[in-house]
Amino acid sequence: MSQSRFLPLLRTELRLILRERLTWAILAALQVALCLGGHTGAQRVAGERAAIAQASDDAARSLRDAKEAAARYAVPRAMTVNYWQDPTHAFGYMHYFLAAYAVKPPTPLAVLSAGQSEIQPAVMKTSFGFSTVFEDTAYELGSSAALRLGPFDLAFVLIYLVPLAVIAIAGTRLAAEQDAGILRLIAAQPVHPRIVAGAKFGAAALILVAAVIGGTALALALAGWRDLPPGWATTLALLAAALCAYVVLWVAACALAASLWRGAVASLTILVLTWACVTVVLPALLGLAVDKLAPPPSRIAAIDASRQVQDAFYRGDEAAKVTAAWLTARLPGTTDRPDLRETPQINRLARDAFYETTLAPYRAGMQARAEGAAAWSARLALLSPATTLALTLDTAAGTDAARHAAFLASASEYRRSLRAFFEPRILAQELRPAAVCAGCPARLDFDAYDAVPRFPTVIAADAARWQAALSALTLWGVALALAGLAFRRFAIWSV
Amino acid sequence: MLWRDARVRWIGGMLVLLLMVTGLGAWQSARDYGAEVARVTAAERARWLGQDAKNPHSADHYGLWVFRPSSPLAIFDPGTEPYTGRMVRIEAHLFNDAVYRAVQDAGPFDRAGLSDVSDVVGLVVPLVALLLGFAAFAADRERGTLRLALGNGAPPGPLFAARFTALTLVLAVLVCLPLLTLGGVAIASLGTAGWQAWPRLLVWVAVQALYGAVFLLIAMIASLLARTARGALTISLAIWIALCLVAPRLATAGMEMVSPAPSYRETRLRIDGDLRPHKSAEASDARAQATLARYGVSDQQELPVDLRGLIMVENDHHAFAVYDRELGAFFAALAARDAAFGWAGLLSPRVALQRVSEGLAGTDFVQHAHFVWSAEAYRRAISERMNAEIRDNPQRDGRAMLAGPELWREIPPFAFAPLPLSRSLAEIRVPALLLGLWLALLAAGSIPLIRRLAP
Repeated sequence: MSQSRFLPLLRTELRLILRERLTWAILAALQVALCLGGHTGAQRVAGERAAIAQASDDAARSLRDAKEAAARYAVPRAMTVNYWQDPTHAFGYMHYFLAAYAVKPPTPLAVLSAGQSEIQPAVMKTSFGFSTVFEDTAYELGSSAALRLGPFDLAFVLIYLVPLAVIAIAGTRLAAEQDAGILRLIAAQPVHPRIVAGAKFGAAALILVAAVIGGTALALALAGWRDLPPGWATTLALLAAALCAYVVLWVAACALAASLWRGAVASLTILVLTWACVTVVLPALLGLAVDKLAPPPSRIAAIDASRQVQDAFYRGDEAAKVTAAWLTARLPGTTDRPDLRETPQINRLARDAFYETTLAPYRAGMQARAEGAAAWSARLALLSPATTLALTLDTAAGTDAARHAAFLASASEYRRSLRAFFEPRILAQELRPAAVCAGCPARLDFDAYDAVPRFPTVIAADAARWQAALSALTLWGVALALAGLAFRRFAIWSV
Repeated sequence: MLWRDARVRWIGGMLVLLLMVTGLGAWQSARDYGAEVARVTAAERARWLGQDAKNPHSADHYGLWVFRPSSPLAIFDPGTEPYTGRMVRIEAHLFNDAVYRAVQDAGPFDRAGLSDVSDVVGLVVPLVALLLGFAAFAADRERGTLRLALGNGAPPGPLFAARFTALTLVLAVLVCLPLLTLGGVAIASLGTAGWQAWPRLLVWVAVQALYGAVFLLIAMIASLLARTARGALTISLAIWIALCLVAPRLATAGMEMVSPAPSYRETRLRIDGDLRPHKSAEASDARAQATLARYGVSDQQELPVDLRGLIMVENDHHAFAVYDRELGAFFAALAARDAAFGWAGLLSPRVALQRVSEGLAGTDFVQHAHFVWSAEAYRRAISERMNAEIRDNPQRDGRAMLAGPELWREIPPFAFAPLPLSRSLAEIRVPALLLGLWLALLAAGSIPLIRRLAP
């Protein structure tokens, strides 16, 4: 390709495209869509932050209530307080007062994509009861109609609408000229088809890349997005590179369609059907593949198992046996204290442990499935440019399946850590009960409210960075391959 | 002529294949779910009846699980089912959520857009209709055959009507036959009690055909307007993208701005805030003292009823009132918001179709709310009976009351009766009218274009 001819042609094409009203109409519509996507993303993130703040307020309120109740009950008065409502009883505090939450805070780039955030909880209250089988029962019961249609977020605009804008601007380049008969005139000039095609599609790519990257930046700025914590700048740069690749990829697809020399109707049909396959059909097939590769275990079977264990516990003298075994395992030297086995709190701790042990394989199976589905999704996502970019945006936004699977695992670990905190204290109080005062409603001396473990919130930037790098590499690879194919096909004019 | 067209055969074949594969997959899942639910429901009933002798309140806590039965037409349109749980733990004191939503176990690609038959109809049928119809007049105009036809005295109106009818028949066969076949299989093999399945199926399929006709009309109007087939195709595809992809998402964004969804989390926090003071140790103690005073006794042993049972009855009634007020308002607000969503059908026939489709399939939010409240009514009936047993059989000297199988048998199995079709039709009247309005407006809009039809 001769640079001396290419650059003037490129400049001419740039001027021609920018002179077209259709170009400006499409770019304006795209900008509006990007801004709307940014706005809805900002609203969603604000909602998530509000939910986390509410959970924090509720935890603080429960702590305050417990301390106030402990102070009230430490004064002699004629009143009965049940052990399970007594904040000076470790068991009472754990079951009645404690409000502990596992939370998944939004990442600095959360505004980019709703991802799984609409359907997976970001705030989970820790429960010690045995009425739930799995921990992920909490959800925001919202409008199913809206959930079914999907959010209008930045990811939707970038993944679905940007390719359509590319097709609208670049999809009939050369093909329209072929239909109008102008191509014969161009072919009659002493210029290689690769130079003409390169200039036409290169100009479209330059304009579209600038519009998409600039438009996204503007949408983010208008959505109130300002600061980026350390470690996220690289991720953002890689995301921009991936986005550029995605635009170039679709321009290259337009060039390839034009290189078939079938006219504008065929080009448009091919491109729109390709778009439908890449953004709708292929992801749906990948969804089926993920379900086959990591099939979800039956929740109903787990419910049945949980009921079987509950039934077994309450049948005959099973409860006494289980409690005795549990107590012996934890306090081997208490065989001379049969009274301990009769206390409801010990009985309940033993029951919960029995229940936990039986359900552990089901819970592990569900956790493994969540991780497996996330892992397979990450691998299979590379098969479609749309899913590649979607996964990258979700990961950067922290709304991806892998982060949620990790969050579920952390929530389970947190629940275990809370139980590990309270169990020895409850047992110690049962072994050596120490009353606060004579005649007080408060029975015992638990006051370690501020020492209760808190959920460790983590926002890891590594996953987002690596996913963005992989995505940029993959998309650029596909874009260059398509451009290469088109380049080969433009070896001769076909008029 | 149309059947001989290879393009029609290919497009039709792909559509039928897509409908059958998606529908049969959903039918298999529905069968598996139904069988598993039936097995566990029977096991739950046996466990409830086979409980050891125990205090009725312990039995109330022991509780059971109930499951929402699916409409047979859920294989076409699961509607809200994947987004709302279908399993409820029935136990003392707690209005539990319906949990374990299918969508939380789905992979990240499952919401890509073609996960069920209604998605295929919503997205692919319009595309098929547009691809069938875009060349109706534009291609003839481009070839010059339209000039010949009009020159030979063929009136534009009948010409348009004949082409539209022929294409509608082709589309109806492609859409309705597989759907009726799948629906028949579902009705014959899945539980249909109370669902009025056949009338629902027939109306549902007719609505899908009507939806296809809307897009066929759009394609033919594009064909009348455009001078070339390329132009007609470009217009048709742009309209498909606008109406089937962009407008539905715009509708969600617009609805969120105009009428934000009520917060379930905040509702639950308000309920907790209302219940907490009532069940505090001080409040419980005060109620016990008030009860003794009401009966004019100083010791609970002197009461003619069981104090604990009586307080539990009072506590539950307080909780019922709080749940009714807060969750009643929440569910009503959500149902109203979903109903308002029906008006978004003005933006796109796909939005209108979604509301109509899930309503007719029996998978809309109103059916879900009906299930949740049915389960809650069942829970309350159990709690009321268990509490009454304790209250009316006062135990003296610290003895605990024990009940046995006679009491457990008094509780009937949970039976869910879906809302009737007439109620579903009333719920979907706005989006159904809007769908009809789309067709009527397009038909009206095509008349001047037909009159002005030029070669």
